[in-house]
Order: sequence, then structure tokens, then C-alpha cells
Amino acid sequence: MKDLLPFLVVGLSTGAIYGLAGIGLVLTYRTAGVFNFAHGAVAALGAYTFFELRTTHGWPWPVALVVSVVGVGVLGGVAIAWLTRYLAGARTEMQLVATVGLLLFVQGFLLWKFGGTTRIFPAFLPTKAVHFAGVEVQYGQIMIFVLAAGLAAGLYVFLRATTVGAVMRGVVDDRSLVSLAGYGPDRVLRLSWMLGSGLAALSGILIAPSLGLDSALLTLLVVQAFGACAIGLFSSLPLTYAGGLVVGVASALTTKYGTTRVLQGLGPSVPFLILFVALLVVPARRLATQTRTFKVKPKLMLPKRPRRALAGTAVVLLALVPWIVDVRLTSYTAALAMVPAFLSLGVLVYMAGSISLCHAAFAALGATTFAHLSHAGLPWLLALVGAGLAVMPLGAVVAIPAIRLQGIYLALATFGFGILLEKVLYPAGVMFGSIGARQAPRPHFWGINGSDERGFYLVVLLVAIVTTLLVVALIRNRIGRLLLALGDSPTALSTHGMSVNVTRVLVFCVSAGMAGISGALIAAQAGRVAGTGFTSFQSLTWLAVLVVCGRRPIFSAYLAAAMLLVVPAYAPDGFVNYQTMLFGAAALLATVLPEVDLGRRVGASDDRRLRSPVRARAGSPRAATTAAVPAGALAAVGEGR
Amino acid sequence: MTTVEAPPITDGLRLEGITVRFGGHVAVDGLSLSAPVGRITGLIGPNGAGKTTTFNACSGLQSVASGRVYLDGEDVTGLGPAPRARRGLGRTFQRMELFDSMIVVGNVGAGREARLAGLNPLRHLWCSKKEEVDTRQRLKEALDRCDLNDVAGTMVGDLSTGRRRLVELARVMCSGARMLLLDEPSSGLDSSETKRFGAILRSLVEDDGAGILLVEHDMTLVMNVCDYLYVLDFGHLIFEGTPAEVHDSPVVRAAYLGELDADVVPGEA
Repeated sequence: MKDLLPFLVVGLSTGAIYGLAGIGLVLTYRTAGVFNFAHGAVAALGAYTFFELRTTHGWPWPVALVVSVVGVGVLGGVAIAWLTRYLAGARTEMQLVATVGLLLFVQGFLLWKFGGTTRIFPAFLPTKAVHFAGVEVQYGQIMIFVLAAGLAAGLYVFLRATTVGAVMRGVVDDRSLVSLAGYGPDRVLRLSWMLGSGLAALSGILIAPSLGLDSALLTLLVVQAFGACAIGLFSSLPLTYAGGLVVGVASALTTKYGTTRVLQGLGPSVPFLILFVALLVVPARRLATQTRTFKVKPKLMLPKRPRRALAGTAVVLLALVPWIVDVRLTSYTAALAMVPAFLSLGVLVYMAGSISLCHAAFAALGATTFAHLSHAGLPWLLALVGAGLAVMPLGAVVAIPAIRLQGIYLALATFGFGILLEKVLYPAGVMFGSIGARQAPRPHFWGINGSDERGFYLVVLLVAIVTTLLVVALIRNRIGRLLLALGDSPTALSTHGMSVNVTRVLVFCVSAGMAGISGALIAAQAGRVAGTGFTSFQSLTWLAVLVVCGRRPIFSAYLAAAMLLVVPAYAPDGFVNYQTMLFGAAALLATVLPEVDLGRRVGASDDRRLRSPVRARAGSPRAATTAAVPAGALAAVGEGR
Repeated sequence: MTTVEAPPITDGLRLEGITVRFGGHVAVDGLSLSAPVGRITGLIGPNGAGKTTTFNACSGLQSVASGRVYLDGEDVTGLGPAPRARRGLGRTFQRMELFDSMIVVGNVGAGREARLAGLNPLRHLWCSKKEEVDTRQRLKEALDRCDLNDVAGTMVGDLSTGRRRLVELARVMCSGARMLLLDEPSSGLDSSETKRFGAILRSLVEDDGAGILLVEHDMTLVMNVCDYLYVLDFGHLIFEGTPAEVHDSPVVRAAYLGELDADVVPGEA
């Protein structure tokens, strides 16, 4: 027992930080109705600001702490509130992509500004320790625990006992009612986002000494917070804080007992495991429901004649590419290799009204399976098909949350699953192993020399075309119609005798298989494939890029592949540095702008009037008449003017 | 409308003492009813009486706390909505559940295709030639009978509520269900549409030998098309009988009909 205590201490202090991050996330989710994937990015921003102020400019740490928490909280809060107020009425998947865009933008900014290397983040809280029941407890750890508990309790009381808190809770239920009662929801939401961002920044600063200053790691802090939120059922603040503690202690304990490689990988991924299991176990109705389905009405196909002409031209042009472009051919090949993955993502998002944030993990499994199969002497094409088939069962596993959950929870479950695979399975011997990479061959068949770039390009083009035809067949056949219907009303389908879960499992299997084929192609092109090419950030980027490229299941897939890989090849040097940032900004613009255009700001008009009560009350005479005079009289007035 | 020689009454749908609870609230309390094939059975009662809940319990969307649900004599209490539908139970919804991103033809056809797809993954993926012909034939018939041919290529979202209700009915007809649960099918319909609707329902029962359980607030329609009525209030069955008996029952009048509907005379449209 005694040797457990140190881990308990570490677990409780890091858990308190997870709890803080989780509380910020739940607070904003419950009030604004938008689940902020960029929460961890805000935390990273806080940590970098603190680092700059303290280490680079030599400010005393308490000042730097307050300035960076308040600064990031206020500025970040205002910015996010501005962005998200347009999103409140948007479809869940648009909200999701918008915050993913924000995440990519902030992360890209940090990468560009500070580079990708992890820096040491010096501990700033006192490291002097007291001995407590034979265990060494640092003052800093006690401070974190007390501070976090205090903030959690304070926030709880604030929401329960103050008017602003009550309004904040009211905003969750009905925005227009709140504004009718005389409180501007915008102001309340801004406050909520400020609090959330401030909490995120604080948690980022507190966790940084143990993680190091690494924008990717800090951004993923959000997933630790997801675990905490899942325990709090995405609604209860005290439970979320407790959830943070559970996540912290469980992670610390697995580190102690993690003697095998798999268990070691399990340590850091405990929160994802908790998230995944919680989403699987908790009855769907207990989860705070602010979910809408993902349904995006797809623009399926053009009329027959122009479609055929266009497709023919496109194929010819694509086949000519190797003789038109020169050294950049590898980028074109890489783009075509991504086409099956984008197609499969499109089938999920546009047709089935579902979502997957673990597509990179499917691709990774496809890549390693391909490497194994061709190593075992299977012909190239068979190994490719085998890779696709082997990933399908994984798709079925991911379909389990898809059966139970929709909207943001499905996104979270798949994201958690992807990270779980990345942390636990990627380093395992069956996948990339401890070296982190595998060899994969180029094709040599039917007189095609795959080592030649042109020959390989044509092979990849062929695979891309075949998968495209597969998707066309899916769209045209029964499954296409059933999927469309499934996105609209699963209830109606089941009361007509269809087992909708069969469809869901099917579509996830097909989608995963196609992503696996992409992975295999990527592996074959590189010759040596590493797990670092298939991170969860890739999954996020893929979805963001696809959504930016419109909603045609086929055309958008090709466009997305080109955006992701061909466009950067033509960009000036150093573009790589801005790439993530630009993708993020593009995703943000593509999701927020249409909503701004539609003027779909919920309760917008009420709110503006409420912000200046004097003007509303004294009002223009026209406003007064509108209220008092019946419609017929109004029409007469209108004609008179 | 007179009842032509009724087809033989087989079992259809039968409820035996079903109780549905939402937490502490008992929405349906020990309800027994029988809606045989070859008849239109009405289920009426004030708002909140438990009619839609009963429907959900019948179609398997809502589990029952106690009691049994029988379909053609088979106990289907433990089955989900899809297996019940495959045994011939079809339903429409008070808040319509249409496939809004599809056109009318797609909606109606999807009813049959969902039934054909059932539990078999392969049949989810592909549609055989034979099934295609069968679907097309049923589709045509359903569209004809519900008079939807002029809007066959329209997105369902662009239709009026009345036509949308008809699309939902056509969809469940096309699926080939023999026992239909219709939840307020005439709300949003004008009086001539309602009349036509009643005719379609009668023809379903008399020509196709289907059975219908109908939840409806439009008393003219109920009194005209139903063969037998069950009256629910606060989850309890307060009366059952022919439309004429229900019409004259003081219990029903006090709980639901009131004096306003007293001028509606059964059998007179």
C-alpha cells in the first residue's frame, strides 16, 4: 500500500488539472451548446503565453500566471464566443469541424511561432516537499489540488447561487426565453467562454511542467478532459472534477503497474479508454443531449450526360498527369493514394449521417497489414485487397458506438478510439513495433514497374478509380438509398422492418476497409511507413479538409486529396509552416461563413435590442406601432408610406 | 359507407394488460385491446391519454413494464421494432418521420426496401432484379391509391402536410404491412382530403384485408370509418364499443367528446 501512495499523490494533482480542464469544457458545452475541440489548443496557448512571459521576459511567476490566464481567457473567450454564436444553430458536424479548425489553427500558429520541438517548461510552483504519512508531497502539488478544488467549488456555487449563474444555466435550455427575461444571451455566453478559456489556459500552464512545452501534447490535454467529462456525463461540474481525479489516479497507477509494452502504452491512454468505455456503457439518454444528427444533404450526382463526359475527361487528364508534371509527380501520387480514404469518409459523413475521427487509425492498420502480407510473400494486389479486408472488422468495432450514439458523442468516441489505437497498438509488435516503422514494397505485375514513379502513379490511379466505382455502385444501389433514409429517420426504417444496426456496421466496415487501402497505398509509396504519419491529428485534418471541399461524395474526395497534398507542392517554400494554420482557418471560414450569411444567429434580434434597453423602450415610433397595431392596420400604414 | 362482406377476421394485433411507465408516471395502465385484421379499430381519447405511447409499445419502440403484445397470435413482446415490422406490422407517426432528403418515390419505395433488406447484410447492399420489379409494382400501386403521381418527383419537404401524411401512408402500404397503426393520420388535412383519406383506409381493409388501428382526433373520420372503438383516458381504458355506442356513452362524453362533438352522428359523412 505504501508504495502506492506516491502514485496516488501524483495522480491526484494531475487529476485535479484534468478536472479543471474538464470543467471548463463542460461549462462551455452546456451553455453555448458547442463542444469545443479546441479546448486543449487554448490550454496550449495559455502555456506558451506563460512560458514567454516568465522564461523569455523574466516576469515573476504569479504575475505571469494571472496575466496569461486572464489574457487568454478574455481574448480567447471573446474570439470563440464570436465564432460560435453563429454556430449555435448549425449542424453538429459543422460545429465540430469549426472547432477542429480552430484547434488546427491555434496549433499551427504555435508550431509556426515556436517550432515543433518540445521545450523544457521549468517548474514554477514550489517543489519543496512535506512528508505526509511517509510520502513526499510537494507544496506545488498541494497548491494545485487546493486551487483546482476551490475553483470547481466556486464555479459550482456561482452557477447555483448568483443571477448570472442562473441565466447561464437558463441559456442552455432556451436562449430566447432568457433574452425575453431581459438578459442578453450573448453577454452570458461570452462570460461562459471567457471562464472556459481561462480554465483551459490555467490547466495548460499547470500541466506543462510535467508534459514539457509541446503544442501537440498540450492540445491533446483536451482528451484527458474528455475522460473527465464522460464521467461527469457531460453535464455535472462536480462529477467532472471527480472524473478528472479518477482519470489522474488511474493513469498514475497504470504507469506503476505497466510493465509490458502494451500496458505502458495504456498508461497515457487511460483517459481515452475511460471516455470510450463511458460512451459505450452510459445509457444514451443519460448523456446531455444537445446533439443533432450530422445529416448534410449530399449533392449526389450530376445528370447522366455531363457526368459521363466529365468523368471521362477527368480520367484521361489524370492518366496524362505523369507526362505533364515533373518532380512533383510524387505529390500527385500521394494525393491519389488518399482518395479512397476521403471517399470512405465522404460515404460516412454525407450519406450515412455519421462521422469518424479515427480514419487515420484505419489507414495505419491497413498500412501495417499490407506490409505484413507482402512480407509473407502475397502478390502486391492481393496484399492490397487483404489490407482493406483486414481493417473491416475494426470498422465493425467502431460501429458499436455508432449504433448507440450520435452527434458529438459519436465523434468523441471515435476520436478516443483512434487515440487509444495510436497509443496502445501502434507501438506494439504487430503494428509499427518499437522501431516505429515497417517496410512496404512497390508493385511489380502485368509488366508494370512500380519502382518507376510513372508506373506507380498509374497503379495508384487504377486503385483510386476502382474505389470510386465502388462508391458509385454503393450510391446507386439499395444501400445508397437506405443510407440516405437512415440519415433522415432511423426510426422509420426500423418500423418498416430494417435492422438499422446492420446498415451502420456495414457502412463502417466498408469505410474502414477503404481507408485501409489508402493506408496501404501510402505505405507502398513511401516504401517505409511509420506510425507518425497516421496520428489522430491527421484524422482531424482529413475531416476538416473534406468538409471544406463541399459535399459531393466523389468530387469532394478528389478535391480534398488535391488540397491536402497537391496544392502544398506548388506553394512557396516554408508553406509547410503555415499549412496547418491555413487548413484550420479554411475549415473555420467554411463552417462559420455560411452561417453568417444565413444570419442564423439564434435570438440575434432580441439580443441586440436588449443590449441597449433605452433605445428599445423609447424606441422609434415604428417599433411602438408594430407592437400595438394589428396586422391589417400595419399593412395600411406601410402603403401610406 | 357500408361494410361489404367483411373478410374473415384473423387475429391481427392483440394487447393483453400492457402497462408502460415513465419513471413514476404510469402512461398506460393495464390496457387490453384487440385490433383484428379486416377491421378498422379506433383508439381515441384526450391528449395525454397514452395513445401514442400505446402505439410505441405496439411497434416495439417502447418497452412495456408488464403485459404482452401478440401479433397474429405470436407473442412479440420481447421483439424490437424491426422484427415486428417484418412480421407485418407497419405504422405512421404523429410527428411524421419522412426521409426529407429524398423525393416522394424514394420515400415510398424505401418502405418496401427496408422491409426487404431486413436483417440480411447482403440484401442491404444489393437489390435483386426480382425485388426491383416487385418494389416498382408495389410503388406504382401505392402512389396510385394515394393519388401521389403528380408529385412523384418532388422532395417530400416541399409538400403540404396533407400530402406528406399521404406519403407516409403510401410508404407503409408499399412495405406490404398487413396490420397498420396510424397515428393521427388526418391532422393537417382539410375536410375533402380527410374524406378521401377515409376512403383509402376502407379500401385497405376491404380490398386488401389489412387491419388498421387508428388514433385520431377527427371525430367525423373516426365515427365514419371505424368498426370498433377503444376510449382511453389517463392510461386507462374507459369504454369500448361500436361508434354508435361510444357516441351515446355518457362516460366518453364526460371525458373526451364533450357536447361539442355531439352533433357528429356515426355513419353520416
